[in-house]
Amino acid sequence: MTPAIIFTFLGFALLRMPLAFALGLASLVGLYVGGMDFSVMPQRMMHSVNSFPLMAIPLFMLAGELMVAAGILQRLVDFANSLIGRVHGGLAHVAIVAGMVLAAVSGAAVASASALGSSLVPSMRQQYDTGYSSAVVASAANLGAIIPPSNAMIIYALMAGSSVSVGGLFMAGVIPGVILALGFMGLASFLSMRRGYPLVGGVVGLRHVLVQTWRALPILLMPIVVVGGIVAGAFTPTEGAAIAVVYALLIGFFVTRQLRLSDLPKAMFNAAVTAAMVGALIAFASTMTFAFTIDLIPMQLTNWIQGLTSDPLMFLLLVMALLIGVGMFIESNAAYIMLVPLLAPIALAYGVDPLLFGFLFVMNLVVGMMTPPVGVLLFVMCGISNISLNELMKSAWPFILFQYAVLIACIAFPGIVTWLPRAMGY
Amino acid sequence: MTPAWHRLEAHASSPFTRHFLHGLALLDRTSYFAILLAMALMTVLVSAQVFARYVLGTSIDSADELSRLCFVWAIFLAIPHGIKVGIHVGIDALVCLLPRALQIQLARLMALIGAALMAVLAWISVGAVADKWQEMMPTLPITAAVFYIAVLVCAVHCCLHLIAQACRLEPLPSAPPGRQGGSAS
Repeated sequence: MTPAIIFTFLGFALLRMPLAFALGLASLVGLYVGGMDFSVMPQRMMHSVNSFPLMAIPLFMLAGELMVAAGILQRLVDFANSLIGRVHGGLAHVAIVAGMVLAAVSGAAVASASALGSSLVPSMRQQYDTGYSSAVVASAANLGAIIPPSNAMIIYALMAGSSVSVGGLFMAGVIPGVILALGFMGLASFLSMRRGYPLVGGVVGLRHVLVQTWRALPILLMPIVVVGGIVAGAFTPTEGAAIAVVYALLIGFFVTRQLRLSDLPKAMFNAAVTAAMVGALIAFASTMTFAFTIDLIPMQLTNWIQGLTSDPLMFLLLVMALLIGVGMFIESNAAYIMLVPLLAPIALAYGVDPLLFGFLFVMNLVVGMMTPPVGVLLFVMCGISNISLNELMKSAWPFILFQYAVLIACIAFPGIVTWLPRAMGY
Repeated sequence: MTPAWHRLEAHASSPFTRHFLHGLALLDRTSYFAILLAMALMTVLVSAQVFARYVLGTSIDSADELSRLCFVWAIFLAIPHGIKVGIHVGIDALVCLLPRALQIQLARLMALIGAALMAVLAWISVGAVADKWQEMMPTLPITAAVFYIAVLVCAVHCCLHLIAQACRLEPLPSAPPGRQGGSAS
């Protein structure tokens, strides 16, 4: 049954069948070859989507859509500009800080790239090279999947089963997320000085900083309320996401006063359709995962890999190398859904910390969103900035290499990832 | 909702095609409003549950189940809209190397095979709905089959969109942009 499933899936996937449907066709073929009842398919599909934790994804997406429609981005940009605008690469720093805060609101990298790119790139390209501006925004957007809340981490935790909690993974992303943001800022400054870009921000004044901080305070408090509530155990990630939506509505209607009732249908529809892309992958992959379990594939794969090496570090490096390749060709959500159920149990068998493995898995695929040929963030930025992939890559590679350096540092010093969640009782 | 789509409907060559496209537009519009309703209800139920727990010191028994029902419906209803706008990801590294005309024909063939998958899924789902019809949801006096009806509706709606794309009645997002492809239509 398994070879039939794999060959059918690969055949259709390589012919540009949407991956979700290629998974569905492979599952049908697998059920036929295995002589199993076809009614398994709708049952598995429905049960895989009928999940309370998964509901957090459209809700966080909706919160992000509403926050952008509410005009929070301008307040964030003004706030960041008042703090760090007057340094080399000031606008780049503004993009990175705004990306950090937006990451703590929406949890999605692509949504952050669209929002940051369309609002910041036009002003950045007046001062800087277009490739540099786009590379900075793409890197800032990548923080969306690392800094909590993160939709990628929710999907990972769901696919990995009970071995890892969403809250634990969220906390695992905090320190590496801050390291990445600081590193991006250092790189942006270095490149800005080397290329001789002018200083663009206004002179820093305490009164101005205080005014902008006050204006941005309701937005800055949102991640504290939502992520803080989840981590403190006051509510589940899904409830936190619903609270984020209510919070975004309150900010939009009563603080920025830019949100209109007419904005709501578009925001809800966009959130549902984007979540449906993930939902379709999960639904169609569920039958395939079921068929693999019947064929004892996870156990056979574990035995096979353990035959290759008994060293957990070697296993970790092998998986990271595999994921770098996968991240270059397969969309990250599809990769989580297909690979996490297979690889997470093997990592447990090797005794690798589930939080460390989960974070490294997510981060590797998140960096993959910035690597060609299939780098979703690169495509988004090329579209917004109207530049070629080659031109963007000339400026993006230092940021990509830095992300891989942080990934290696996390493998070499696991405490970077595990210290905070362990200190908080995960 | 989609001006390009309405143009196609206006230029449909036969009454059958016009009726087909009109029916599909009606289905799109109905599911659009159903998605909005499901998303709104899901948000209200989950946040009301938190409010009830911390402020009123109680809980809404059916909130969890009803919100999951709304979520399942929102996702399965939105999958066909994803087909229409081409949001479902695929690997085009190999196909990009083929001549443009062949890419378009291949995209149509894939849409047709996808439609066949959805037709089979719809047929299986009818059985699943029938099997579950007598079973009730734990906290609500509603048949548990409503979850499977979402899968059935999704399969039928996806099938219709994929047929429309395979027959060039609506844009084919996976085809290269151009006169016969979908993106630019």
